[in-house]
Amino acid sequence: MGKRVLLVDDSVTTAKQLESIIVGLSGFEIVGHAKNGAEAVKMYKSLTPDIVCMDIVMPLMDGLQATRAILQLDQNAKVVMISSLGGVGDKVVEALKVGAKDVIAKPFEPEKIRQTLQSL
Amino acid sequence: MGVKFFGQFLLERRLITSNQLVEAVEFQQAQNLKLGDYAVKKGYLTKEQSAQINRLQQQKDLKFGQAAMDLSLLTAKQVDELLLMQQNDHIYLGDAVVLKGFASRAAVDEALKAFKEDQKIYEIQGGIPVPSELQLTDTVRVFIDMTQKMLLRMGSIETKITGNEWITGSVMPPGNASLIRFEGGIKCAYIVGLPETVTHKLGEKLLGKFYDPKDPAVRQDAVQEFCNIVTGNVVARLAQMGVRSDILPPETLSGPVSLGTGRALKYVAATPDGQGVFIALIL
Repeated sequence: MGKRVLLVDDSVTTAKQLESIIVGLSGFEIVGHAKNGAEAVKMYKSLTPDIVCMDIVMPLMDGLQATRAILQLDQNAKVVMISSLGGVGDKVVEALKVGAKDVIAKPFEPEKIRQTLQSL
Repeated sequence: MGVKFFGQFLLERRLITSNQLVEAVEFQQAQNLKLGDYAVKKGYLTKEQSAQINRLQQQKDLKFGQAAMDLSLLTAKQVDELLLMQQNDHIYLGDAVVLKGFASRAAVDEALKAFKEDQKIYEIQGGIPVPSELQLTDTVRVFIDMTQKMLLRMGSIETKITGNEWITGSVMPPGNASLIRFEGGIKCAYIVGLPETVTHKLGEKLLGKFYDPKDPAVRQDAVQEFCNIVTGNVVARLAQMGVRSDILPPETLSGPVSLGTGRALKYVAATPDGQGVFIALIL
């Protein structure tokens, strides 16, 4: 069985981009798409994915708060932040402190996504 | 690839681990005192006076030195002296990484050289006109330049700025439009409106066969995500210039945005085939 990935992004465009990359990656499958942090936490509980690809700026609950909540549920959770704020030093450091495994800035290269997922 | 933070570049090159990056940043923050701290250390201000200045800073969005002079708590000469002290003592992230023993000076210097080369494309280009009465000229240039750079990077869409004008009353961008509000060091709203042909080009580039040009929701989402990526990279670029800001989620625009008694600065970025990308900043 492949690694199960939960996508969290309020943008359908980004979710589709990630989907097109991950679908072509052997050993990975997408199990859900949450559109905000609150939905992400609910879906993490019900789906228990191996990896979460998490945006930061989202309505209702942002990605940093959601990552904190997920790691409180499961300290072994693997969350990768994929965000337009991924080049902002303060956000990168905050994400790493919260427990994210990596931070990828948008616009991203497909190869960066592949390499990061394969390294987890 | 967008605007990057040097620490991330060091991570990508596996020069340091993420734990080491966090430690280096915390060390750097502890070492780099704020101007107020220097003023208290030097005996020019008490802690209470420094706090009073911070409050005015936040209320009126001022730099510490300016706020202190406005309150007649520091003179211009004292501010200059403190700025020089701060500058001389400042340690960069690379310095912190070396001082903590995480990497050698030679390795950090080499990485820094490669980082500057990598990020050269995000230097603000000259030639973007900004009204002379505006104080935020560099900030405005970052917004406009980043919009053009991201159109090129994400959609292979070249554009030229054809001018700017002030708008009052309301702003109604044509085509598929989105608005993002900024908070923190910059309080403004950024609006982008893409004509259909530009939207399609961007959508096809981003999504390939997954892009459905007939679905208005897909088109709108592509523009909102474009708006999000431009502004996120603006936040990163402004952070490099010492301005801390943040963005809210993108908003769909289905009607005019009222400016009240304020105004917006509008630009048009023209494509070679005569399409106009609408950019507005509500300042």
